Amino acid sequence: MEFNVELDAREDVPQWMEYGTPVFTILAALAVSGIALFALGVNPIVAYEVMFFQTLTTEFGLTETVAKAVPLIFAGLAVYVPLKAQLWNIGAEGQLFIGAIAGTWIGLNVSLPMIALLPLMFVGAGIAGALWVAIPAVLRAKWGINEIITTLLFTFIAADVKNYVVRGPMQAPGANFPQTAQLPLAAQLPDIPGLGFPIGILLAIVFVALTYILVNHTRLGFEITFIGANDRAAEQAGMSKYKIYLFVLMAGGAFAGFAGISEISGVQTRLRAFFAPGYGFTAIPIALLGRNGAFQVMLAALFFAVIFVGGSSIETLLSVPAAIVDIIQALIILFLLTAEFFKQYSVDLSLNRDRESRGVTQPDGEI
Amino acid sequence: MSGDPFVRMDNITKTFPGVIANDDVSITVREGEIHGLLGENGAGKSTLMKVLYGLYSADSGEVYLNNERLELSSPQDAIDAGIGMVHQHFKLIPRLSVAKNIILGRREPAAAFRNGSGADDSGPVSSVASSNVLQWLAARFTLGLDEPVKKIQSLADDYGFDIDVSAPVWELDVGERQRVEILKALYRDVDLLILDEPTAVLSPTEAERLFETLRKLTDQGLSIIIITHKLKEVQSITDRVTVLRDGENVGTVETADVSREELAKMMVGRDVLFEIEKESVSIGTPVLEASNLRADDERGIEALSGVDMTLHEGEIIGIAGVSGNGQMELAETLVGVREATGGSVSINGEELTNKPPRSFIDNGVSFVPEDRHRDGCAEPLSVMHNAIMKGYTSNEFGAGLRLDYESTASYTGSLVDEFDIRGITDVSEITAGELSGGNLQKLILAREIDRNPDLLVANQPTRGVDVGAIEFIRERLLEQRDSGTGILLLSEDLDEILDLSDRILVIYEGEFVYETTPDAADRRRIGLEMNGGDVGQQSQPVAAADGGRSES
Amino acid sequence: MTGLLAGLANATVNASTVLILAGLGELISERAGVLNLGVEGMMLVGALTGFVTTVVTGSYWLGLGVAVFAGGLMALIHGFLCISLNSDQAVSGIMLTLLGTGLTTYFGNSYTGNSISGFPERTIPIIGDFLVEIPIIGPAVFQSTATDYIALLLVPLVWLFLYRTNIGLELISVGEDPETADTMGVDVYKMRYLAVVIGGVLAGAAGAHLSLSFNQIWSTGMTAGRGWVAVALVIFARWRPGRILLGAYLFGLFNALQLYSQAFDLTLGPGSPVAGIANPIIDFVMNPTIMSTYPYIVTLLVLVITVVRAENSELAQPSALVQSYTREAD
Repeated sequence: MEFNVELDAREDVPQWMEYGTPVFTILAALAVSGIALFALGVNPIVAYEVMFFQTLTTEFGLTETVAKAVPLIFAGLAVYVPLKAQLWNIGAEGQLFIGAIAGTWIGLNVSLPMIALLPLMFVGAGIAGALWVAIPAVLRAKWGINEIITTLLFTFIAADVKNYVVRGPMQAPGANFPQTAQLPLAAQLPDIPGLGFPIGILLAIVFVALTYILVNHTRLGFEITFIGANDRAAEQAGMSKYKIYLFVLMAGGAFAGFAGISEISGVQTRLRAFFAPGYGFTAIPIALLGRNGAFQVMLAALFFAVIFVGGSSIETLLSVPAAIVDIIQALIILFLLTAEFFKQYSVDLSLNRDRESRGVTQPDGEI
Repeated sequence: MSGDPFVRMDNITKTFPGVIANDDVSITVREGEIHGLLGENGAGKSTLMKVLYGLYSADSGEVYLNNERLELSSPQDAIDAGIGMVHQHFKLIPRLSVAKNIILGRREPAAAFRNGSGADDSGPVSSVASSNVLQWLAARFTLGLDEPVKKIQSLADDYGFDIDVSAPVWELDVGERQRVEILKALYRDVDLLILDEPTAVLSPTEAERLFETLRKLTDQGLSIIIITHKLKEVQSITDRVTVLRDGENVGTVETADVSREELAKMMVGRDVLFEIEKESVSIGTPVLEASNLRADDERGIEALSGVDMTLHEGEIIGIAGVSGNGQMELAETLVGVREATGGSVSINGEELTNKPPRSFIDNGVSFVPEDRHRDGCAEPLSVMHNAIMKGYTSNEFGAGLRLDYESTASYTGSLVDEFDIRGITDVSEITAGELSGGNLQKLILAREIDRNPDLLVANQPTRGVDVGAIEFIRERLLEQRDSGTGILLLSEDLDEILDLSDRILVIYEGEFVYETTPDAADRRRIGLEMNGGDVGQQSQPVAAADGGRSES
Repeated sequence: MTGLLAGLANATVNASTVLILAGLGELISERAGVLNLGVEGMMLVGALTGFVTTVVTGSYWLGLGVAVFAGGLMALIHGFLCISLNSDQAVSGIMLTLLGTGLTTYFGNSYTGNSISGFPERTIPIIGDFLVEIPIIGPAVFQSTATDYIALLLVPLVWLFLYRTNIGLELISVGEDPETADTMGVDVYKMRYLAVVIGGVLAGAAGAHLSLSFNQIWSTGMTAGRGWVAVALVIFARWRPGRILLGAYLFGLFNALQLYSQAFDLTLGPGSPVAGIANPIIDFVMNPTIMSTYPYIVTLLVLVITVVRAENSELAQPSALVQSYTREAD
C-alpha cells in the first residue's frame, strides 16, 4: 500500500481560478493575520472594520489612501514592466531612494516656477532611477548576471547613500536632524483644486494608461511580451534581447524614481532618513497581484494603500502595532505563491495498491 | 570469451501512443562480443536498449541474463544485474572530480568503517545494533574516497585511459569524459555495457581510441552492445550486428560475412510511402550561395566543416542525413541564427555572413526550425502573437509605434483558414502551447511561407506531425517552390527527400559527401552515404557546388 | 596605538560572528541550489524567540535552542514553497523576510528595552588563558561568548561536511546538476530540504547571537540589514567556507572602522600640496555611512569579475542555483 500524490500539469486554468485567485489570496491572508490580531487581544472583525470601512468612508481616509497610492502605483509599475520580460526588479526600493534624492536636490536648488520646476524634478528623478538600474541592466543583458542579486545590492548601497546625504551634503542647516530642508512651495505637489486629492494621482493614472498602451498597443510592447515568453525564439525572429532588457529595467528604474519623488514632493515635503517604508518591496506583491495588466497593478496598489492607511488607523485607535501590515503583505505573497502552484497543477491524492502505474508515457525524441 | 548466449531479449514489444517502437523483437548477445545495433532513426534501437536498461518497461517479452529471467523496472535493477549504459549526453558534474562523479550516490563510507573492520561478533543484539547505527552514520557523514580512488585509477590504468582520477571533470575533453562514463559502469562491475551512439561526439582519432578500449574490455570478458547508424563503425569494431528497421529485427549477421551495401539494404528497405505529383519547373537566379561554410555546435566542436552550395529560385534542394551530422548548424548558419566560424553566406547576391537574424529576415529568408517548441514559437502566447512573430514590423499592422491587434487578428484568422490549422476557436485566446504538433507546425509554416520568401529553410518540417498535416505541409512546400521560392529541405525522412527535391545532397559529419537527383537516385546508395558507408572507399567525386544546371 | 588596534581587532571579531553564522547557513542552502533571501527575517525571529525564551526561563542555552528551532521552521516554509511547489525562490525569500520583520516588530514591542544577562564572555578551558595573552588578537578572539566560539568551530565543520562527507557530496551535486544527481540515485528533494533547513537553523542562531551575546537586548529591527550582508558575503566568498570567515572579518573590519573612524585621523596636514583635494576625498571615503556600502560594493566587484571571466572555473556559482527542479515524467 502506498500513499501517492499525483501531480498533473493542467492544460487549462479554470476561469474561476483565474479571476478568483487575487480575491482568495487576500481573504486568506486577512484570515490568518486575524490570528495575530487575536493574539494581542484584538477582535479581528473590529480591526478589519476600522481598516477598511473607516478608511474608505471618511474623507480623511480616502485622501490619505489616494496619497499613499501614488508612490505605490509607480513602484508597482517599476516591478511590473520588467516582469513582462521575465525580469525581477527587486531593486525598486533603491531606485526609489535615488530618484527621491535627485528630485529633492533639484527642488531645493533650482528656482523655477512650479509649472516648470515640478516636471523638472520628476524628469530628474526618473533619469536618476533609470541610471541606478543601468549597471545591473547591462550586467544582465550582456553577461546574464542575475538581476535579483545585483539590483538588491544596489538597493542597499542606495539606502546608505540616502542616509549619507540627509546627514551630510543635503542636511538642513540648523538643527541636527537627518533630513533636508523643506522643499519650497513651488516644489511641492499641490492638491487637485476642489477635491482634496494630491495631483500626483493624476500623474500616476496617466502613466498607468501609458504603460497599458505600451504593452498592449505598440510594437515595443509586443517585443517585450515575446522576449518574456521565449527569448530564444524572439531573438531568432530578429528581436534584440539586449535592447529590450535595458529598456524594461530602465523604465522600471524611472518609475521607481517617480515613486520616490512623488512621495517627497507630495507628502513629506522634505527628504528624511526614513521616508518610504518598504514601498519598493511592497511593489513586488502589487506587481504579482496585478500581473495581468497595468490597471490591475493600479487596483492592487490602491488596495495596499488602503491597508497601509488602515494599518496606521488601527495603530492609533486600537493600539495594534502597524507591523500587522507587513504580516498581511507577507501572507498575501505566501498565498499567491501557493495559488500559482495550484493553477498549474491539479493534485490527486490516492492510495495505490501496487507500483504498476509507473510506466512510460512519451518517447523522448529518438526511438 | 566463451561465445555463449549471455543476454537474451525475447519477443520484446513496446508501443507508445501512435507508434510501435519495438515489434516482437528478439536479440541475443554473446559473452565477450561486441554487438552492433544498427538502424535508422526511428528504427527502435534506443527504445530496445532502454528496455534492457530498465528505463522503459516492455509491453510484452522477457529479458534473460545467463538464462536467468530479469525484472528490470529501474536503472538500479539493471546495474544490480550487471548491465551498464553510457548515454549520448553525459551525466557528469563538471565541478567535481572524476572520482567523486563516479562514486556519487553510492554512499561508500570511509575505509575505517568498511564492512568487517573491527566487527565484534561476540556480543548480543546491542552490539549488532550499534554496528548498524555506525554504518548508517558512516555512510552519511564520512566520505570513502581513498579506496575508490585507488580502484578507479587502477581500472583507468589497466585500460589505458590516461586520466587523472582526482582531476575535476571540467578540465577533461569530450573523449576523456566519455571514458569517465565508461569507468562509471566498470566501477559498478558491469558485465554488459551498452553504448549509445558513442562516436557521435568524437573525432576520428578519439573514435579509434575508444575502439581500442572496447577491444581491451572484451578481452577481459565484458560484453558490449553499440547502438549506431554508422556502417564504417559497425565494420571496424563489431563482431556481429543486428539490424532494426521500423521496429522489427531484420536480421543478425556476422560482421565479417557482410558488406556495407548489404547492411544498407537491410537498414533502408524498399518501401516508398508517398507518391507526389511534381512538375518540373524552370529554376531561376541563385538565391543562396554558401562557400566553405563552417560552424561549431553547442559544445564548441566543429560540426559544419566547409560546405559549398548554390540554391536557385524555384528549386528544392533536399539535404539527406542522419540527425547530428551538421544539419542544424547548417540550417541555422544560413538564416543568421548561428555564428559561422568560417566561409560565407550570400542571399540574393548580398553577403550576409554573421549579420543579425533581422537582416536575413528583411532579405526574404524564412526559417522553419527543427525544435518548434524551443525556437519556433512562444508557447504561453496566443496563436496570433506567434503568427506575427516576425511580421509584426510590417506597416500593414499599424504605422509607427502602434501595433493594431485587430488587423493582426484578422490576418491570423485568414492564415488559419488558408492553412487549415485546426483547434483554434479564437486566435487571441488559444495559445501556441495548446495546439497539437501538426497544427503548430502548420502555423509556423504558414507564418514563414505567407511572406513569400526568396529562401525558405525547413529543418525536419514533418517530424512529429500527424499524417494529414504531413501531406498538407509537403504540398504547400511544392506550391511555394512552384511560385519561385528556393527551398532548402533538411530531413531524416529519405522518402520525403526523394519526393520533394529537385537535387539531393547527402550530409555526413559536417560535409556534403554525395550529390544526386531523385531520378538518378539509388535509395541504397543514399542510405549508404548517409551512414558513412562510402566515405573514402571509392573515389566518388563530391559534386560541384552548382549542379551545372542552366536556365531553360 | 596598540590600544586602538586592539580595539579595532575586538570590534572586527565581534562584528564578524553574526555574519559567519548567517553566512555559513546561506552558503549551505545556496550550494544545494536554493537561494534564501529570507535570512534577515529568520535572524529577527531567532533573535526575538531566543530573547523571550531567555527572559521567561532564565536560560540562554534554551533561548538559543528555541531560536534555532524557529529559524529552521521558517526555512521549512521556504523549502516547501521553493522545492515542492517550485515557487520563485527570490519572491519566497523576500516574503519570509517581510513576515519575519512584521511578526517580530508586531510581537516584540513589549520586549523592547528589556535587558537580560545572556552569554558571558569566557576564555577557552585549559589553553584559553595563554591564548588571551597574544597581543591584539588574543583578547579579541579568545575572550568571547559561546556563540562566538560556535561560529568559529562551524567554519572547519562546515568545510568537512561539504567536502569530506557523502551527504556533503550529494548536497553539492544537487546544487550543480540536479538531473544528473537524480540519475545517480541522489534524493534531490531531501537534500535541498536539508540544506534549506540548516540555513534557517544557522540564521536563527545568528539572530540569537545578536540578542543573547552581542547586544543582550531586544529592539525591533535589530539585525539592521546584517542578513542581507550575509547574502552578499556568500557571493563574495565564492561559496567557500574558508572565505566566509575571511569575508566576515573583512566586512567586520569595515564595521569596526565605522565605529573608530573618528579616532583615525587620516587627514593630511594643511601644508601638503594635495591636501585640498585629498582631504575631502578621505573624509568621504571614511564617512561611516558611506563605509556601510563597502561590503556591497566589493561583493558586486567580485561578482562581476568572476562571472566575466572563465565559465567553468572553480570560482563560479553553483550551476543550478535559483533553478527549481522537477523530475520529468518517467
